[in-house]
Amino acid sequence: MKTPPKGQRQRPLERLLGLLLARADALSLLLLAAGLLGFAALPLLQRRISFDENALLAGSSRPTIRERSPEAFTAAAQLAAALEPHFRTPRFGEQLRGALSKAGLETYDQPFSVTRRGGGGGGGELRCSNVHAVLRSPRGDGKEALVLVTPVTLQPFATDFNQTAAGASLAVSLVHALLLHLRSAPWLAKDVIWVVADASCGLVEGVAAWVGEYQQTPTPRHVRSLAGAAPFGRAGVLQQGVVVEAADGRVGGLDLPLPGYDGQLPKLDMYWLLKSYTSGWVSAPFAGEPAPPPPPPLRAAAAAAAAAFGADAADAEAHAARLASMAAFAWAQARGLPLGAHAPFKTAAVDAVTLRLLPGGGGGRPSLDASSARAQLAEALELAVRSCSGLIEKFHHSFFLYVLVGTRHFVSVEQYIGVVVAPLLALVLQAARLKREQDEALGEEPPLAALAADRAQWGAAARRVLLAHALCAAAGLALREGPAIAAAAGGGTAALPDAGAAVGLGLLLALGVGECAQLLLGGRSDSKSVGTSGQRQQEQQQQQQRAAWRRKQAIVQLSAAAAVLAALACLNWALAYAAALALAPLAIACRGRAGAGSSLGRAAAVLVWALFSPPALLQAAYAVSGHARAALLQPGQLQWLLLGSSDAAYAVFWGLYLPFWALHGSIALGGR
Amino acid sequence: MRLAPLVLLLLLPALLQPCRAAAQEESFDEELVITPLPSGHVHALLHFTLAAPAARHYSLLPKAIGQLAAAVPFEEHHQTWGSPLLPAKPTGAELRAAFSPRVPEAELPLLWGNLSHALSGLLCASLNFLARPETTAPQAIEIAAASGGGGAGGSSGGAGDSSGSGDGGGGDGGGPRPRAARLSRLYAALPKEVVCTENLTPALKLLPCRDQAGVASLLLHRPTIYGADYHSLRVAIAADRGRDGALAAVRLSLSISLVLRPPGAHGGARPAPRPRTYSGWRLGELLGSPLRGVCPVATASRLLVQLPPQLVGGGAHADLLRPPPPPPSEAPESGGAAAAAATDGSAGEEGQEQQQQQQQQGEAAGAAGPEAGADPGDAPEAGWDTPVFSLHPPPDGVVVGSNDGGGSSSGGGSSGSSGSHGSGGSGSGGGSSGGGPPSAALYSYDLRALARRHRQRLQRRLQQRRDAAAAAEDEGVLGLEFEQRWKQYAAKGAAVAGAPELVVSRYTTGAGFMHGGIVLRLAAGGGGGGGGEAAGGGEAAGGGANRTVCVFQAVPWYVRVWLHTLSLSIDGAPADLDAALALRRVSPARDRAAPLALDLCLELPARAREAVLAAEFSKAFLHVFEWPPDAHRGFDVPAAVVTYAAAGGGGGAAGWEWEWRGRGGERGAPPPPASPLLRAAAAARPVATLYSEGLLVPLAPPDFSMPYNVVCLTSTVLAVFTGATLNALLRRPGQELRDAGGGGGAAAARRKAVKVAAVVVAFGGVALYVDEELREQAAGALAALGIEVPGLAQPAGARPA
Repeated sequence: MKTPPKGQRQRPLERLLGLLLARADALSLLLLAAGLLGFAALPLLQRRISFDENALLAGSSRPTIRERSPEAFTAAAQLAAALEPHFRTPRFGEQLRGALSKAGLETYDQPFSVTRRGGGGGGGELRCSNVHAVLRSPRGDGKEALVLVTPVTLQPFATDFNQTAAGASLAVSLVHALLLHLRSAPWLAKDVIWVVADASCGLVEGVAAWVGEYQQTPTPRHVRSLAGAAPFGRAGVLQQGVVVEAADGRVGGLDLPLPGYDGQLPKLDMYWLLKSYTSGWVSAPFAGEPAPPPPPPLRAAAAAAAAAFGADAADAEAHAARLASMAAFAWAQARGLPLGAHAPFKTAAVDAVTLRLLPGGGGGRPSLDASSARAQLAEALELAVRSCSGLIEKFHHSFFLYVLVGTRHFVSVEQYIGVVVAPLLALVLQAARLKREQDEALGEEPPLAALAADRAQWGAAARRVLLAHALCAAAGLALREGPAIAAAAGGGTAALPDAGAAVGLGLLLALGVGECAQLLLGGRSDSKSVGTSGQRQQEQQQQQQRAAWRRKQAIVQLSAAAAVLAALACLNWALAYAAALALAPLAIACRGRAGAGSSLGRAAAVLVWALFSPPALLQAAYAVSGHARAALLQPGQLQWLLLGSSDAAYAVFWGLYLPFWALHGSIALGGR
Repeated sequence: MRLAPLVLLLLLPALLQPCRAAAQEESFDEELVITPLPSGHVHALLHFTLAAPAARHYSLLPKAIGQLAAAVPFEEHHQTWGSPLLPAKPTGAELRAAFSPRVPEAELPLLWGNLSHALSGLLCASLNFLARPETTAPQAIEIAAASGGGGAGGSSGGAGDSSGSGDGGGGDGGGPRPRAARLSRLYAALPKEVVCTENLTPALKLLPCRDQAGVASLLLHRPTIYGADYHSLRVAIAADRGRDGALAAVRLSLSISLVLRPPGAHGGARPAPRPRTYSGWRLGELLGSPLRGVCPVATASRLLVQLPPQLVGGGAHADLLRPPPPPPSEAPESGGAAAAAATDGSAGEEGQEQQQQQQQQGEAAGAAGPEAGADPGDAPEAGWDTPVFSLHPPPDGVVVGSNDGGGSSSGGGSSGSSGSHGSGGSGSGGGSSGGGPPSAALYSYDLRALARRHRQRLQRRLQQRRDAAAAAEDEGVLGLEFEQRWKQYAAKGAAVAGAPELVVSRYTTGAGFMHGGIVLRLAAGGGGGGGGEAAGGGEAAGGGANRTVCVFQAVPWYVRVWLHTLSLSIDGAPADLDAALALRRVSPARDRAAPLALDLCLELPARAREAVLAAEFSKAFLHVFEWPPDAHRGFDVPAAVVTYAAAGGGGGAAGWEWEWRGRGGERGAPPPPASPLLRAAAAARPVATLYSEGLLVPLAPPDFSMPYNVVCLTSTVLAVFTGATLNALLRRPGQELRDAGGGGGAAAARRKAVKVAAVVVAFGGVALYVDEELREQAAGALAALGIEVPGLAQPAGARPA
């Protein structure tokens, strides 16, 4: 601020803050641009992945399963042949248990039930049962365990995992061969638990039920363990886990999907361990290698930029490809949905990854047949188990906050966090600017009465914001729990769950309509106000007071948004980034135009309000994620369309964004 | 593999309760028990017992042990460590000692420290860490046989103990009962200690022949020993004291327990055995090193081959309990007397023989079987063929054990006065030979007699051929090769006949670094089947009564168990813990000073299939310097010890009762000198002890790479944050203007001074409260000024030394 300081003793820090706040709008735009451009530039900071945990001794041993235990493969092949005809029948489980106890392993069952959300087909309670076996390491102390998980659809039905009989027998025989070998491996220092998770009730749900039972920790709401007092074999602290997800018997490629619940990732070393061993010992291509070309718009942009700045077009395109791959990874994180069955392990502080065997046969690419895939994967898994078994300490020397750029490079947290902080700062700046305006409007030396009135106004603003939060949370709760309540009350016909969604939508609409009505009425009263000068003065005063009150609401709202987003950034940076990017322009644009009071500004504000309304945003999100069509085609999926993905996303959306949208819309349209 | 606890159950009590009959003269007994397990493994137990009266001069017992017994007035103490194959044994090392109740409690820490340090040096183990008070827990409750207390003989005497008297008088009034411990028992465990050859070697040095001759020579090949699926080493020292507290005798027993995989057909790494089978074995190949004769100074040297319990009961294989007929050529030896007579005369001779054989060993590397070309008189006897297995060479006899307690005669030997144990036991055993159905059987070999016979054969052959080369290619080292081959159960069908009555498992629940839960699950084992039909009937008879199970658990202080969350559930339904408690001793944990010691005896309903004890805990936050190496591994919680009355004890004090069936058809007690192992097993049988698994509890580790940087950064950030928040909260609009404009300078200055003083006092108080060293310094400074502040110095003095 160029004006000389009012008080005699304005400190340098205050002067600096004043300077910043005077240019708040420009700075906010700058920060916003930095946030966007920084993200685009992140691939420049990429690093090659390497092992941080030296104790893994990766690559220092060779697999021994072929030479030491050739009989393991014969037994596994026999088991596969015996299991395949009984796929999805009870005989499958019986034969599996028989083979396990014949191998000298302890076998346990764990029944569980899953209540599928989303009415329509496949709803209601499903009952499944996990099977797990424990291999006690001959020389270990039994205090730590490694977990191998093979999801198999054991029941006659399936939900989200379409497995063929060949896929099931490949997964089971692969781990069976490995365990037969590990029985006599002299180096095995930790017990090995093999979980045949029942994927009939859902890929993730089976593992979540098992992990919850093992650790006695709460499972997701819709998963319930029914193990009761039946014996459940345990083997100490779970340390690392590998989920082998085989949908088909022929292996055309491999993939390691990383993001779990809320975008939480396993340790980078765990990814790299599986990546390097499977690359070395399995002759199947890895998904994302070579990097796929960027989408056409991005490619065109890259070409244009290269032409404009005289850079190499190939470099620009490679950069665009990396950017696209990084953005896809970040988007998967932001959605917060688990991409693999390893996600529940993260809640139990276990490092786990999913090794997904992509079905082959498509596109004329060469694919591995079951027997060679079994042998090669068993070798890779043996090495992974061996590396993890050798760890004395808990796995701690590795990144767990990172973004993969392609399959061999990553950007770590200290590099990408700046991109998140920039739009967050824009929000803070806007709040601070509003606060300053408020202080200036209050005058230099407020009388005590004015102070008291001011305090009351602050309280009212905070109350109103809280009320809006509560309303929106109630709407969200009604939407989410509606189906359960309806099912409990009305015997669970297919139509009732949708009633819950309808109730929620109604609440939402009522809120919006109420806001609009208030705006319109307020606006009309504003425009009608022509009268005596005294009246006009009074009205002007009222109007000023109303504006001040709204400004206070906005300050409270913006500060809360910034704080919650900052906290969210610790949990799910990608979601926080997306939300901040959406909120910051709103905060800048709506307030600024509304202040101008022109009809054009008002139209722009309405447009922004409509475009950034929650239903519109969610539609856009689902259009991007590719689920939109499926969701639109099935009316039962309506809630999924409205509810977003993970719990955190859900909470942020209903608790933060929605009230902000409603209130800010009111400020934008009516705050003059 | 799960089946092995059975065997451990059978034999472990023998080691935990060494017999304390005062020895009249020095003795050294070495025994080896081989047990094929239903999991296909073979269990080998080497047991050595050294006993010496408290004379001024003794030769066999190591001087260090004798001096230790003389210096520390403990009654008995055990030390054990190993790594578990099975959830029935603890991992790491544990040290437990029982001190005479006459020792004042204040002296115990000192004695305990001396003991642990002395043993640490003797066994090259880190037992000295156990001397610290934060690891040592008192064990206040013992579960003891009704008449077992008297077995202590000449020591302070059970009758003088108020709590023990009722049981002692009752006799067959019931099974073993928990009661307050007669002796002051201390317990400490090092769950992370790893046992290795550096511990075995000093332990073997305590034996007169080390590992050069006798049963211990089987341990020469250390890779086999430490490549075993399970190994453990126990050292037990028992001091017998007279009524006046004077040392009467010292007994040292050392036992090494191994669970081995039988070697594969084509060498190399031993393959995992096939489950549900019994594996055949050859002694030398099994342990990787041949048996080199017997130790010349041994008073007894015995090999026992245990018959799996599956084959003992039921009567289907009754012929297995009869020893093979005596060989036609040789008269049956009445082993004991002859062996005892030979002891003095042939010791030196045998020693020479031994050396010769060792020299020859280099040339005759391969251990050949019975030589075909020898004339019939010389040929070692052919093996013993039964429909189930063949055993080579045929055993001298069978020791048949029954644990049907019915009569009071079994207790007769042990309840008497000191010193009469051996003879009394044999006498009463002979009297009631027809007592109960057999539930255990062991084939016995007298190694001394075998070695002598073999030496005679060898000498005869040498005289006949006068050919050194022929002698050299004789059957390896003394030809003491033993072999068992299975005919019936080699492919399939081995079963645990007497599944363990109780299966203990323990695990933690919860995830994360803050809180967790600890769960101890006691599940009734396989149930029916028992040791035989009669034993099963006994179980059913005892089924009406409640089962008493005692749980002892020491928990380190940094795992803060919330005792109010301790809950019991039986068969999945919550049960009243207070109602189920028969006895309870809890000594709470103190930070950095004492562990939590939980001693609970529960009365469980007879029908209960499982009982679950659960409690929640919080994890303490440790100082940077309290972390051990490999901090990120987590902390180990020692195993819980579960003791209970074994089945068969329903009718009374049911110890094992051994009956000897020799080859000549004689029956009776085992030939003297009675086996210390069997005697100990008989004495300890009614009480079974189980160990739970060890537990690993991960704690939140600080950043060890740069603790000071982290501390500085965190403190700075916190200070800035707190200051800014306080400022924002306390400052009022216009405050500055008012401060600058109005207000007298003096008043403002006074206010400011008061504020500064308040801040200094507040933060100084916090600093004194938090920082122990600062407190000490402050106390020192004040003392130098002549002001004594007792409250300041006291906490510093209360620190553990």
